[in-house]
Amino acid sequence: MSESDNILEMRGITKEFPGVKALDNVNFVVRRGSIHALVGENGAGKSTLMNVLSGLYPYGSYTGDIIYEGEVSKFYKIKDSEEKGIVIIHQELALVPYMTIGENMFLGNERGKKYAIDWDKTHAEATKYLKIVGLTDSSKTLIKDIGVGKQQMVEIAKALAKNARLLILDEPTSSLNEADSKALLDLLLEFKKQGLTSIIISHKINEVSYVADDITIIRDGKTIETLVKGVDDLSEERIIRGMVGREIEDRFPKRYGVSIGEPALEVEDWNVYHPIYAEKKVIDHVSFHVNKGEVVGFAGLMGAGRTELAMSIFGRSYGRDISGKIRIHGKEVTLHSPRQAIDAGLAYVTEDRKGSGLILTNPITINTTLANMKGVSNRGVIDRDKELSVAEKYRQKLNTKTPSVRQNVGKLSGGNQQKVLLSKWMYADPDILILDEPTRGIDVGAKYEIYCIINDLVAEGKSVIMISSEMPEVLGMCDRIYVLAEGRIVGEFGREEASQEKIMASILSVDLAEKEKEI
Amino acid sequence: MKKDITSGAPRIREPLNDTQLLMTITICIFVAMYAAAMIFMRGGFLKAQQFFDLLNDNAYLIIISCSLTIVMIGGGINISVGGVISLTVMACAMYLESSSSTSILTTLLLALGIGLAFGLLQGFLISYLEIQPFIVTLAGMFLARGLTTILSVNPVKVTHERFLNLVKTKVEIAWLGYTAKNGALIPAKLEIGAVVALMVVVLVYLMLRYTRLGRNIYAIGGNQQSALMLGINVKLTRFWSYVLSGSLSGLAGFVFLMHKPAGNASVALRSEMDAIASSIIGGTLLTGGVGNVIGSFFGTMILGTIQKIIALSPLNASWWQEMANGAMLGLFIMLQSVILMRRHNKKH
Amino acid sequence: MTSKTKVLNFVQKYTMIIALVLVTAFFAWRTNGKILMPQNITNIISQNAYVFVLATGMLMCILTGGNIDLSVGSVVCFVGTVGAVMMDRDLNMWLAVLLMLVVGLLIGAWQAFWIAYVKVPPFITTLAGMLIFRGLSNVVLQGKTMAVTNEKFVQIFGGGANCYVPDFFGGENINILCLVVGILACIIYLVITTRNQITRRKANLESGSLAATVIKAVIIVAVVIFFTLRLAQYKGLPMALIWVVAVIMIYSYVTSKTTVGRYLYAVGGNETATKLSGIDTRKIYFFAYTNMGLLAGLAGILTIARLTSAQPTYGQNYEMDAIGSCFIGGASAYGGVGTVPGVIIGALLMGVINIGMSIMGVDANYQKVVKGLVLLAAVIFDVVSKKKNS
Repeated sequence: MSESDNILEMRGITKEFPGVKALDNVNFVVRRGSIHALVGENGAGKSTLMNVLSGLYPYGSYTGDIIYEGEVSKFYKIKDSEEKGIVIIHQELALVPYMTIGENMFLGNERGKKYAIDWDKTHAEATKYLKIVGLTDSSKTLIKDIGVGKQQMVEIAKALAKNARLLILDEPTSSLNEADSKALLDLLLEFKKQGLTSIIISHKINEVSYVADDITIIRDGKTIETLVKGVDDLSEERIIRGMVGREIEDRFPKRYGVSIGEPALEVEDWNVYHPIYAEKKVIDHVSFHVNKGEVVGFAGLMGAGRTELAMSIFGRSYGRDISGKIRIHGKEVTLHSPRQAIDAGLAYVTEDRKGSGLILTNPITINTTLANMKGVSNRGVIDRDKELSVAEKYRQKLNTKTPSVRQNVGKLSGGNQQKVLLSKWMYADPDILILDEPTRGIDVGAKYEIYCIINDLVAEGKSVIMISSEMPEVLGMCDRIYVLAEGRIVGEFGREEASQEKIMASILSVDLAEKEKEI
Repeated sequence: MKKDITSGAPRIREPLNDTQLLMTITICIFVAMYAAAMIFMRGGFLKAQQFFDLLNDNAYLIIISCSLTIVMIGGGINISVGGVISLTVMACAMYLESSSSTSILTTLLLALGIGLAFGLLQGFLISYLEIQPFIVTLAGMFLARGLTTILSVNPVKVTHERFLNLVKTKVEIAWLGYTAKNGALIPAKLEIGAVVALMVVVLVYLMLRYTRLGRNIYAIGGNQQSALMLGINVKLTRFWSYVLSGSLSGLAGFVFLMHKPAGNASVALRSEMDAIASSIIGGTLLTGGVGNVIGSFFGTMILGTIQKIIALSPLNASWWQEMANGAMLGLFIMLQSVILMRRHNKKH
Repeated sequence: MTSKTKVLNFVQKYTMIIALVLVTAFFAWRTNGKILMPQNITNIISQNAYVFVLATGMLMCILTGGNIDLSVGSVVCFVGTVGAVMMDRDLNMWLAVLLMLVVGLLIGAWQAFWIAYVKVPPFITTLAGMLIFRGLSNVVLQGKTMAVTNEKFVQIFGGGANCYVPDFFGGENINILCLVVGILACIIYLVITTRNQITRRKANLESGSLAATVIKAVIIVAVVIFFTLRLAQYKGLPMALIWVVAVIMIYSYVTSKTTVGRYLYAVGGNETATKLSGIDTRKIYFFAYTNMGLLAGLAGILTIARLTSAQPTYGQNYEMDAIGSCFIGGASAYGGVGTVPGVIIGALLMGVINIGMSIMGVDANYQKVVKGLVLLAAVIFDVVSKKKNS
């Protein structure tokens, strides 16, 4: 392979933060015109490597060389790398909600003279690039008014407008549904045909094997290996083995001796309307039930209404004009607030740990007891010692890795934060737990531990509702699976009969029906 | 709440976005209020001069409203503007009094210099040391007010001849004038300060809309994280927003002196609150990222009109003015939220 | 841990206490120790009573997410106005006091309603309140001063010449009651600390090092004894101190030991998480701002008692003193962080500077400048030291 075949070569990159070596002599080579995947567990150093490349960590703050287009490059700031055609699209989208698509696309890259922005040109060019990525929205639409999937496309259009020659996508599909993800990946393949090189960082191994020509695996800040399509085995097992450094024989722990009992939660004819767009029905005549000791999965695409269903049941935390019946242990209840829901034995463990689950600036103790202050207080007066011992008990029970329970939650890793969040709801002592994406963004080892906790919960006679976008997880963990699409239940499968194909089929049949209706 | 649900809703064509709508409402309210004053108060309001006086009296307030709007769009706040005005007015008055040969240009430079110094200092502390803008500018307010009284506790009246000539110089517009009882035509007069203020509004409007700096200010106020990832120099942008804000406060001080040529420790007391109120009434959001100086201009005009109405009524002006401002602010916020809420409900 | 980082950690944790000690030492040096004279120690408390009270209330608002209440100065003025008018019409003093507190509470509830239930930003609501209540005070007083002549009222709320708790023990040169109270306070503090330590150790919970606890206790006892000794040498316990201590104790307890206090911190830390944990966050906002109104009412009472009159200009910039004390005392402008003792340190620092400069004969105008600089210096120091650590 001659030198010019490689658009990028990073040699011996070492980057240290105070006390941590984030990257340790990393070598990374990207072939021109390829799609190169960068995989590894959380904290393995993928994003750090890309930040070094983009100049967010300026030249001099790391050691090693970046050879781009055959010459050693020194990037002091993001603008430097962008000028050379290296454009990075971050996981958290870099869009300003109150600006239009066009304004966003050329922010920092304005059209016209430096002190006189040419708005006509801006919008004309925006429209051109939007067309390339297959968006038909007007470039004058505000960003806040389009969905995440489209926002991701706008990001790509924005990158193209910067004359990207090397496109880096950091977890581009993490908040997209499967259809949007597929569209995005196909777009990348299309660009590849036109000669664009991309680097994709992803947790989703099936996507990686679908799209990538080469896969580089990073673990603990070191490059482990680079697998090449057509030469190496690119199966999911093979990649996971590289990532975790060990075989995971069984990704899902077995449940023994859990007997499934009477219905614990029954929901009947549940309807919810959108809180702002009052005429949009988000949940449409949904009925389901969960039995004692059962793990019930809710599968579906992003935006199918699973989180909305869960939150509307949990004390009407979402939506308006809610109607329907809820029975808990056979008794009908009306839940108007999260407090009533908790008192009735429900718990909702949010998908958004940082945004709506934990108080990051507070210690584990305070987070653990927040949903059940009555347990550690007497007439409004808190017993601090008791609180400390409660937090300590759950730390041991869930094996949360922390130097002390007085540690602020913000300093913990994703997996440990999830455990603190679970502690909070376990301490509220619910009968029915709704776990919304309980393993999102946490690494393989921690996932296994979360599964074990779920098994322990049902073994204690509790019921678990598990909302997850990872199909294998739903199939591996749940006794029964409901499939939600467009706010309706479109399928129900027992453990034995369920399969990825069947679930997808029931989702797609709704989509087809919708399409026909529109025509 | 998931974002994709909101977007899934089909959208009707929108002629105005929220910002523009709020601004339009502000303008309409101003026009309605002024028209009402014309009908019910009669007298002065029927003359064009009354409108010009509104501009003359509030010229400095218009300028600091622009100054506030810039930092508020960037997600910040600046409550030192009133203090900077008082310091500038005092310093310039004393400088002019120091000798009859002082040049007016250097006085203007002194005013701008004081504003700039505050802007640079505050901007540095807020952007590069990342200290809360509220605290920094609160301290700045103490500092400026204190320095004013250190310069002189007693009022300093300007007797500098050429400056007083400048104060008397007015733009006369004959066709908007009226004929006095003795038959002489009295033209409508606009002070230089008011002209400067109008120019500031236009320039800031153009700056915010047509320059990179302007775009970047909206971006850092709208979503700082995004702005950072876009390679926008967030710190520098914020720094500039405060430098601009500070310099405009200095300019406002000079304009104030041109309107009332005397330095006084209590000059422009609480004017920062009036400026914030003007910006908010004009549709600027405290959370940043949304706003427009044209709106702020009309916000100031609304407050000014109320003041005029109260002054012409038998009520005691100083007592009722604050109350009316407060009530107006409250009323407008309610109106804003009601309109936005209805609008969102209608969208489906 | 190396000794260097240990020192750094110590400095960081006690930044403001160290600053307070240094500033006091500075003034003690410049004033030849006059600032530590009994009368001046008394003045630090009585002249700044309103700051302590308002800062405590302001802390609750700041905790909920960096929200501030700009209206407190005007509310202090308005409540004072109402009280002066009522007492001028010979209303029973206690009834008047009660009504003043109720007025404060109602104003607080009115603003709290808009903030908590209608979601109008606090900055705007209270900015409007600031303008409205200042104007109302003007209207009620017709722009004039109204004297407060009820001597009992003035004395009980810390105004006039004889605003001290009478000494039942009849000490001659020294106020025995004052000493007794000081010693009692120390004993109670020691007993509680010891009990906590014992139960924690028994339960095998983390309890901090014994040496640190002992040193802390010794310092606190020394400071309390010094203070009461000084006060006893003058005229004894100022009435204002009683009110301030009551407020401090109640709110220290509320913020650190009760669920309501916990929820204040939680709302500031993460509002959505708090809501989903089954807590009605609107009630928490409502509590914070209603409470602020109540405390502004109390501050209004203290103000007209000390100044024995009501004037439409009273209470101007009080909100700035209160906000300044909170930030100097380590409250975070983002909410969720801050303690009542911290705020008290902040208020004390402000008070010491005020009195110190008055003794030194520094012009009142320079005082304003110095106050601004201290506020800034405190915050810069805080930010910079935190940055170095991370």
